Order: sequence, then structure tokens, then C-alpha cells
Amino acid sequence: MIDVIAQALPLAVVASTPLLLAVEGETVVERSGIINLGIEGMMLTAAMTAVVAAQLTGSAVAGFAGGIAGALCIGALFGLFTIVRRADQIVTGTAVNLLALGLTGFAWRELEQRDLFTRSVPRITFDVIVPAAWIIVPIALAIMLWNTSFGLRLRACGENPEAVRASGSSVDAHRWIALIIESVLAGIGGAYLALALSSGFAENMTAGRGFIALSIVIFGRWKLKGALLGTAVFGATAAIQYALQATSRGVPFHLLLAAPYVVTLLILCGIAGRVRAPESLGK
Amino acid sequence: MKRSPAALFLLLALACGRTETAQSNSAPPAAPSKETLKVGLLTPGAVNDNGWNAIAYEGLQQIKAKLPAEVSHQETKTPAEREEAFRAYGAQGYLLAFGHGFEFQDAAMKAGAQFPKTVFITTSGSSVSKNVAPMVFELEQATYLLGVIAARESKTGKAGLVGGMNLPSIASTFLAFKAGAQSVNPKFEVKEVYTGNFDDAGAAKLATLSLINAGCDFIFHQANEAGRGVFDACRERKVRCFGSNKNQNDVAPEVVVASAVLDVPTAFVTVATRVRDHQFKPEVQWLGMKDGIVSLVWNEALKKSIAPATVAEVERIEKTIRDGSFKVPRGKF
Repeated sequence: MIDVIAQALPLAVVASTPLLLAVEGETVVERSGIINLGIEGMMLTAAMTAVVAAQLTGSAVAGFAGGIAGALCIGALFGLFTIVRRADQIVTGTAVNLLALGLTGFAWRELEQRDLFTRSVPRITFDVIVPAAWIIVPIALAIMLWNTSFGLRLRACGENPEAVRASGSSVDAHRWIALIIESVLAGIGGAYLALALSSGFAENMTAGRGFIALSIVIFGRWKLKGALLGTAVFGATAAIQYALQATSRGVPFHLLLAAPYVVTLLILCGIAGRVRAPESLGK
Repeated sequence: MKRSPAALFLLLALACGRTETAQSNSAPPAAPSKETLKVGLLTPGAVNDNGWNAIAYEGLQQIKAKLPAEVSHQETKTPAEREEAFRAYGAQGYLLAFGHGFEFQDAAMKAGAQFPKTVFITTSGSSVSKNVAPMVFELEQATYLLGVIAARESKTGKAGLVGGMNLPSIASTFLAFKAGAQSVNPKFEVKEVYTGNFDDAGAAKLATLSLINAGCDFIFHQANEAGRGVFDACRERKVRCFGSNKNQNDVAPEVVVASAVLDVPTAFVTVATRVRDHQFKPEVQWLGMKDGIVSLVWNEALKKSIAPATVAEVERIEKTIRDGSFKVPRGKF
């Protein structure tokens, strides 16, 4: 049993990296008062644009740049409706997901027939994304949110935007910056999913990671510590349940597949502390 | 009207999603005439799905070219639509109507009783009457042989199977794989892992790595699109594996030893030819290696690494499957 877990954990760290990047991005954006339900579509779009960019240039680095660019386009679209036009964030996020699922599926079917896309996808040779996602990004974001005046204003946009306005700062500008940070992180996450965890794009390949990210942000109480813990628990349980399926111990696989959700829920609910969303979230 | 831009956008997004499914309804079939042979096809979804429905449509196009025949296709989603569409084909004097899926059986039986001159074929299923029958693909014949290869060539005595969902058709191919492996070595271990969907290549990769960690040195998958993750894991760890449904030997040529291949379009042509030549019998239309629908395709580059005795054994068993003297075990569904 111990060796099963020991073998599964390194797999878990790598496999849950895209999820972690999404959780970190969503934490920042929700702190600024925006709930971006469209993060699933954002990652899915990034996964496709990453593959397209990587195939066109033959370079994995360009692939990641393409992923970020794709996510930024979706972020800009979402921001245009929610920040500029003040549209309902939930409805816009849902629309973004539907749009991304339909568009990427359609575009991919057209593209994959071409010769360019039948050759193998360039691989990343040195994986800097995993340590960045698990160590550097959370530290950097935590310092930004809690130790800088910019971070204070950004959190204030989520709690009391009137106060930010009264102090002479622009709420919209802070929200745009939060959305850009999220887009970059989700873009890297989507690109990592397509270029490192897989070798190419498949329709709906994010398979609900964005929605899991949304719930981990809530259960992680909008804190980066919670984001790391929630993702780690979810990822580790997912990897361990596959290892248990593979060692065939007679537990029905349906139960094992549900384990990551149940365990994450129990652990994060069990941690003491008041659940309080940013006051102006979604408004 | 604070919400209107978002609502408009939602509609736009929905419209984008819908265009893919709405375009494939063909024009209503033309009036009956005695000279032309007419074949209809009902699919449960859009025929540009690159999968289940696309291969049926490809089959219909081949019928049109090869028989030749006048063809019609409709997308039907509800039980009422299926029955209505089948009846329309019967009323218009169609010789043959396909319902592409297990779920078309009821509609086929009802329409079949009303229009005895039309033959109604469902893809998979078990309902049979005078002019209604299912066609059943015997991919198990090829996966049985893959099991034999794995058990002969494995050094660890373990092989792993990665499934998307535990559907009866998938479980049946796994059952045959296991039977093939254990015909060689009754103690050979075959481990199964399911990921719960057919989209998530990342999950399929994780599942495959778990199987490799558990000591499996041959991997077979039934994960459709997510199978990409299976091949990635095998390539990373240099573990040999097999392709499924399509010839996937080129997807990862350095590790895919062979593929169990299913040629659905040819199956449609074969059944249509049987009906045209009055060879149709009201019984399950079995379609396997004998009919050229199912085959085991070796990756020639890697075949050299397989012991000649194993290759000879596989060829010997394949012969007994083809001449009908050996029946490959399959799941009941």
C-alpha cells in the first residue's frame, strides 16, 4: 500500500499541474470581484491554440505562447462583456464555455485533416512548469495579494469597490489586470495539458478541470494555501485511485473514480475557519 | 437592461454549437421507382463527429458508390423520430434501412411489422424478425489475438487495459483479450483501469502510468480520443502497446506492436450486398475476420522484435477463427 502511494505521488504532482494553474488564476480573479465560470473554455481554447502554434512553428515554447494568446483572447471577450458592458458574469461565463467547446471542436475537425497536424507535436525537453506552478507562482501571487498596496487595492475591488473608487483608483483597471493574470495562468495550464500531459488536442480535452478549479477556489476559501492544499489532495487522490485500480484490489472502479471529489470535499470542509466569499464577488 | 448583452452572447454561443449538428439532415427521399435500389440510414447524431456516426455515413457513401444505390440519411434523436423515419423509408419502397445503434431496435421491430418488403438493420442489438436483424461486429476476434501476443511476449506476466467507460461492447473486447492471454498462460494477470470518459487524455495517461508502475509491460486501450494519453505514457516509459478500432500503428510507431482494426464502412456494404442479392437471412449478421471487417494489423517495423513462434501461433489461431472452427469468447449484450 505504501509503495503504491509512493509511486502515485510523483505522477499526481505532474498530472494536477494544469488544474493548479487554473485554481491560482481563479483565486486572483475572484479576489478582484469577478467570478469567471468560463475558465473551462479558457483552458480548452488555450489547449487548442497551443497545439496549433506548436505545430506551425515546430517549437514547444511557441506552443506555450500560443496557449497564453488563446486564453487572453477568451479573457478579453469575457472582460468586454462583464467589465465593460457589466453583463451578468455567470451567464457570460456559461456562454464562453459553450462557445469554446463548439469553436475548438469545429476548428479542430477542419484543421486535423491537414498534413501539418498529422506529424507529432514538439515535446518540452525541460519541465519548468511544474516547479513554477507549485512553488514560484503561489509565492509570487501571495506576496502580490497580501504584501503590496496593489494587492490590497485588488482585494478591495472584491470586497468594497466603492472604497477603491473613493480613493481615486480604477476598479475596472484592477479587474482587467486580475483577468490578464488568470488568462496567462490558465493559458499555460491549457498548453501544458495539450503539449506535456498529452501530445495534441482532443475535443473537450479539459474534461471539467475548469469546474473543479472553481470549486477548489471556494473550498480553499479564496486563499492560495487553500488552493495548493485542495489541488494537492484532489490530484493525489486521483493518482492513488488509478494505482489502486491498477493493482486490482477488488474495489468497484466507480467508487474509486468518485474518491478524489469526496476526499477533497471532506478534507476542505473539515478545516476550521469561516467561509466568506469576497463581499462584491459577481457584482 | 443590464443582462441583455450577456443573453445575446449566450444565444450566439448556443448558435455556434448548434450549427454543427443542424446541417446534416438530407432532403426527403425521392419517389419510388423500380430500377433503383434505395438504402436509408438513421444516425443518432451528427455525421461529422469523426467517430460513431461519421463511419456509418462513410458506409452509406460506399454503398452509394459500390452497389450502386440511391441513398438517404436522416438524423433522429427521439424514439418517435426513429419510428417515423423508419416508417417513411418503408412507405417509400426502400429495400434497406439502417438504424445506427442499439437504441433503434424497437423502432425497427415496429416498422418492420408494418413494411415487410423493407429490411431493417440495427447496428448491434439482438432483436430479430422476418425482415429485421442486427449487425454485430466481432472485434473480439482481434483483441483475443492481441491477448495471445501479450502473454507470449510479456516479461512480467502482466498486461494492462485502459477503458474510457465500462460499456458492454468495451468490456467484451477486454474479456476476449483476457481469454486470449490466459489461453497461453492461465496465471497471466490482466489489469483493468477505467477513466470514466473518452475525452481526458491526461487521465488516460495517468491511468496508463499507474498500470506500468504496477508491472504491466503490454497495454491495450479502448479510450477513443483519450487513447492519445495511453500512447504518450507508453512512449515515455518504452512499454509496448496495441491500437484499437482504427489502425493506430502510426500514432506511436516505436511502441505500438499491432492494432485490432474494425472496418465499419465495409460492414455496411457487405450487409447491403447480402440484402440486394437476396442472401439476407433473418438472424444476427455476424461480421468478423471472415468477412474482412475485423483484422489484426501488425506494425511491420516492430514485428521483427516478436518471437517467430508467437507470430506463427497468432497466424494459426487466426486461421481457425476464419474457418469458423474456433469461436472467440465474447460478452453477452
